[in-house]
Amino acid sequence: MKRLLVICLGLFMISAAYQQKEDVVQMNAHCKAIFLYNFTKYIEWPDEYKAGNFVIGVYGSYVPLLNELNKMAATKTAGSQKFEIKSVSTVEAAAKYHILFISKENLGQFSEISNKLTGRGTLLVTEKDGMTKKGSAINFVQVDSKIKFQLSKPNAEKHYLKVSTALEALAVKENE
Amino acid sequence: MLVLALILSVAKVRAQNPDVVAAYSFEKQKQIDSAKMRIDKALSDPFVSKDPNFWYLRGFIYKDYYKARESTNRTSPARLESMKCFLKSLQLDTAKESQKNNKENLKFLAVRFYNDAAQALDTSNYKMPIENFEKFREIMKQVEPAYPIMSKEIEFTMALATIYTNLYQASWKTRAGFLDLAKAAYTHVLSLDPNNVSANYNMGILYYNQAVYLIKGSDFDIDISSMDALQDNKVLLFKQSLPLIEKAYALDPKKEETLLALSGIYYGLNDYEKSKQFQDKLEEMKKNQQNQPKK
Repeated sequence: MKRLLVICLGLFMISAAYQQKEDVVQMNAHCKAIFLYNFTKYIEWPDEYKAGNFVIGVYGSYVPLLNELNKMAATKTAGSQKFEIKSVSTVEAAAKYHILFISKENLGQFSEISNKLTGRGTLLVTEKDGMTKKGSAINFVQVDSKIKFQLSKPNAEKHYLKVSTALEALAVKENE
Repeated sequence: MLVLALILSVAKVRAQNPDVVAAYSFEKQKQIDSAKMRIDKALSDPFVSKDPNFWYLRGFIYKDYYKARESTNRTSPARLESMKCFLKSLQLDTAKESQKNNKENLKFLAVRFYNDAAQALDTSNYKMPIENFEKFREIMKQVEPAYPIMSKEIEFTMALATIYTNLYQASWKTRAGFLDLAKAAYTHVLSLDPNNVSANYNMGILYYNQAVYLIKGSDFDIDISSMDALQDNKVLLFKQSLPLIEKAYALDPKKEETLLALSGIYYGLNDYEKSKQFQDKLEEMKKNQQNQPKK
C-alpha cells in the first residue's frame, strides 16, 4: 500500500514559495520613487526650471532607484514636463537638476555637491539622520520601520524652491 | 483470489434474484457492460438492496467496469459507484463475512484515488484532485484507521498550497483569493505538524511576498499622505512573516533560503544592520560549504 502511494508530490514541495532579496531592495526603492514623484506636486521650482525636461539625478550607484524612477518617468510627467532620469557620478555645476538624490554611501561628497549647486534650483534629497542640518532640503529617515522624510524649508528656499504647507505638515520633525 | 471470494459471497444472494444471477454470470464471462446493466436492474428489488453480498457484487462489477472503461478518467463515475457499493456492503455486513474482501477492494480504489489526485494536481487542475484526495481519506478512515493518513494529508496539502501559491504569484493583482487558499492550506498543515519546516518557511514567504507586492504594486500617483498607512500594512506583513521564518530557521539552521529570507525581512523593515547580519551568516555558510573537502 505504502509503496503504491509514493507519487510525484515531492516535486511540488521543492518548487514551493520563493523570494529574492532583490525584491525588498526594489520595494524600498519604489517607496522612495513614490515620494520623489510626489515632491514634484508639492514644491514649486523657479520659472527657468519650468521649461524643458524635469531632471532627476541619482548621485552614486543606486540601480534599484534608477530603475524605479525610469518606470515612473515612462508614465508620469511633472505638470507638462517630461521626466529625465540621470545617473550622476560627478556633479557639474552647470547641470540643471530639479532633484538630486544623494545615496547614503556618497554623503561624504555632500558638502562639495551642495556648494557646486548653490544658487541653483535643485532640491537636494538625502537619506541619513542629521542631513537637513548640513544643507539637505529633504532627508529620508526610518521611523518605526517606515520610510518618512524630514524637510528643511530654509534649505529649500536657499535653492529658490517654494514648499507647500501641506508638504511641511507631512514631514517628520528632526527629533521624531 | 478476489474472484473466488466473489463466488463465495454471492452464493446466497444470486439464488434469490434472476438479475443478480445473470449479472454474476456476465461478470464471470467478463461481459462487463451486460453485468453492469443486470446488476443495476436488481437494485429495484427491496430484498437484495439490504444484502451486503449484493452490494459487494455490484461494487465488484463497477470496479471491473472502471478498470476496463474508465481507468484513465480521473472523475470516473464507475469508480465512485464501486466505492459506494463496497462501503455499503461493509456497513451492512454485520456478520463481517465479506469484510476483508470489501476492504481489499476499497484499498485498491483508495490507491487509485490518491494516485490520480497526486498526478493530476497542477495549476490548471486542482479541484478534482482535492475531491479525489477526500475520497482516499474517506476510504482509509474506514478500512484502515491505523493508516498514517496524516503524513499523506500533509504531503497533499503542501502540494496543494504550492499550487495556490503559484496561481497567486502568477497574477497577484487579480488572484488574491488564491493567497487566502494558500494560507489556509499552510495553516492546516501547521495545525497537524507545527514543526514542519517547509510549511513554516512557505507561509512566512507568502507574507513576505505579499508585503513586497503591496508596495511594488502601488501606483506612483498614490498620495503622499497615504504612504504611512501603506507602509503600516507592509510592516505588519513582514512582522507576520518574521516568526514563521525564525521558526523555520530554528528547525533547520542550515537552510540557505531561510537566512536569505531573514535578511530580506529585516531589510523590508528597514533594519539594515540586522539584515546585514543574516546576509553575513549566509555568506559564511556558503564559504564553509565551499571549503569542506569533497567526499
